[in-house]
Amino acid sequence: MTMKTEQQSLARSLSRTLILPPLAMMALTGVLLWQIHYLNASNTTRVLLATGIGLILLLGGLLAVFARRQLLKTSRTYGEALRVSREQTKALRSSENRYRLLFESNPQPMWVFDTETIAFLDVNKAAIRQYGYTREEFLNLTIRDVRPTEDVPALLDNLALHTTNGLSEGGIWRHRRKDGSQIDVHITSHPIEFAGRRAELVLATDITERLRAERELVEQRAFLRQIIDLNPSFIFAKDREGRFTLVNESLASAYGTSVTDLVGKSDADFNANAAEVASFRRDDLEVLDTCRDKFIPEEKITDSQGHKRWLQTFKRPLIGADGKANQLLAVATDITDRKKAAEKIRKLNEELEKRVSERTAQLEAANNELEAFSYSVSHDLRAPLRAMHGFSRILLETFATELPAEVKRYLNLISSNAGQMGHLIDDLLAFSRIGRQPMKIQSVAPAEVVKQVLSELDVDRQGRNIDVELGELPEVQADPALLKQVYANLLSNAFKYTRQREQARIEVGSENNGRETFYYVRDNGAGFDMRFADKLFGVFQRLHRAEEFEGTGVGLATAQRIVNRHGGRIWGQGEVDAGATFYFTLQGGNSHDG
Amino acid sequence: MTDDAVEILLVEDNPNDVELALHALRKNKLTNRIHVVRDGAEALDFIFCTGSYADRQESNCTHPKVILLDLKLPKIDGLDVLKRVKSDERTKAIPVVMMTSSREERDVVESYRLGVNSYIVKPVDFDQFTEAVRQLGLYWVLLNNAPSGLSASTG
Repeated sequence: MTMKTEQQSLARSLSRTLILPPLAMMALTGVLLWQIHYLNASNTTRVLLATGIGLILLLGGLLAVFARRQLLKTSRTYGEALRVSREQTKALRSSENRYRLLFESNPQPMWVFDTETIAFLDVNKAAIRQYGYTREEFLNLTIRDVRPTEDVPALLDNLALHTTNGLSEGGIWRHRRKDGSQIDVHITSHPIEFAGRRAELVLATDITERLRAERELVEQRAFLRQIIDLNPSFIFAKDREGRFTLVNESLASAYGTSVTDLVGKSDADFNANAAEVASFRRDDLEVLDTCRDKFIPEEKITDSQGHKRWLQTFKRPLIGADGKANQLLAVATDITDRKKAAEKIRKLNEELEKRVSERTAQLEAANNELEAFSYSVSHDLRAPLRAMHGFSRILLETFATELPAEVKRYLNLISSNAGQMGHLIDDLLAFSRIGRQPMKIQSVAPAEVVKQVLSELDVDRQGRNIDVELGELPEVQADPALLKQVYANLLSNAFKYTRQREQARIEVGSENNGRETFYYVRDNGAGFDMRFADKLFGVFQRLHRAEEFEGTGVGLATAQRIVNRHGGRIWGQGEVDAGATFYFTLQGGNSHDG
Repeated sequence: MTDDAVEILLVEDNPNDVELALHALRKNKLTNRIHVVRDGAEALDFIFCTGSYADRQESNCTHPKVILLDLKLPKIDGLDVLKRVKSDERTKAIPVVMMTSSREERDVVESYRLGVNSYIVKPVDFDQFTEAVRQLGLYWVLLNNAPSGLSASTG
């Protein structure tokens, strides 16, 4: 039923009850008056009576009309009041529902606890979900039961101190869930009256994740901080005004200050060298204005001790959302030690070069002296020999018939000795020349060289029975003229020392052991005693007497010198009267003087 | 021009070598027209008819058929003498034979660079020396046909 129809029915019933009796009364009065008038009463009395009754009736009627109006009015006011009251009740009920809903379906856990017994009086669904207790279980617990045991005393202290006026910031607490796990919560509580009890309404916001994230952030910051602080390079950021917005400990300590003190200040506050400060500033602004990285291979910085340090710096603009650079990041590596080391190396090199050139000059001088010496030997030592030989010959020729045989023999000895000494000088000069001549290394076929030597030695073979066997001789990198000298020496030795053989056998060949090639010249001649093998290659060292085999003792020394200059080795194997073999290697023609 | 015109100029400072050379030349019958000078300066004076040889101007400063030149000489070195002779238009056609003890490569190379006509290493062995001198004389004095006008004694 609507408010309006309710009000109308009320008015109708009121008018029925209030109007019908006066109407009945007026009708009865009329009947009475009619009886008075027509029955047994005097006229005057009847008139008076009738007039009185008429007035009363009239008044009663008026009264009734008025009463009705009043009543109607009253009833309208009452209806209004009733309506308002009903509406208020309804609103109250809906507000409570709303608050109930707010409590019950709040996503944050909420509960009400008795201030006195600290028992839970009510909990919301979120609390049930969060803490793992059922509603019934909750209502049998106190708020101590959701705290870790060790936190209970603090809780009780807090409750004792707690003034119950107004909203209280409960702060951050640790709560324990049914399964024993702990969560961090932010507590807000408010005193209320609940079912006639003093109570606290509690809002428990789970901030476990927030705290964890915060802790992680702090840890991460600390970690990053350590990274930049541990770095020996200067790491810093600056704003457009040149103020440090970030610095690491390396830079702070170089500037003789702390990280916190340096932030917000600029180079000029710590660096007395205006030129350096200006140069830093210039580079900074360039980076900020061009929005480009800048690499500064070398720059100097004066530290708080006044020491100059060399830096290698990399600057990068930090570009904001507006596309402009308002800060720059820089990493400057201290390269002082490197510079010092490089400088040291440079000096050492210089010194070394100087020493080398000095040594070279000395060597050159020695070489020149040696050359001058051998030059003069070449010129001057031979002249007297020529005289000795020449005049002996002239004597022998001119006075051939007059001279006694004895004198002739002596003259022959003089001339042959002079000739022998001439050979010695020639060999020695050739030997000394080997070390001085520049080598011309090229690909050489040793077989060709051997054939040339053999044809030149043809004279020595005349009247002799010599069998020369030429084996495999692989190509080699060598100076052909020098290699020819080696073969000339080895082959002429082989020819010489096989002189007493009916059938001389000479074998020229090579062997390879997988790593290097050995070239050899083998003969079946006089051989030698291996005990003296070390003397084979010494200058003027001879293992045979001059009467047996002529020679100067320079040939093998010369061969060794050539082989050594080629980076190779030479050695001999032999047995007295059973022949000799001379081996040599040539390793690619490395220049070794020796 | 005249029969006694010098055919061989021997430039040699070592008296033994001079004597041996003369002996070898004599043996090869080349001694008549030989003139010996003992150092480089004297050699140049003779060749260019200056100093003590200024009077050679009178006989038109005739050129020898060959100059036998030692390398190591007092005052002016054999190579310098060679250079002077070979760089002068008047004398460059005179055959010069280096006769030296030196077998040094650089001497040989330098001599040929300066225009030497022959290079003989004096052997210690006198028989070989004699043979070398004989061949020299045979070729340069007897067989070689020098350009006309260079030497009046050509004939």
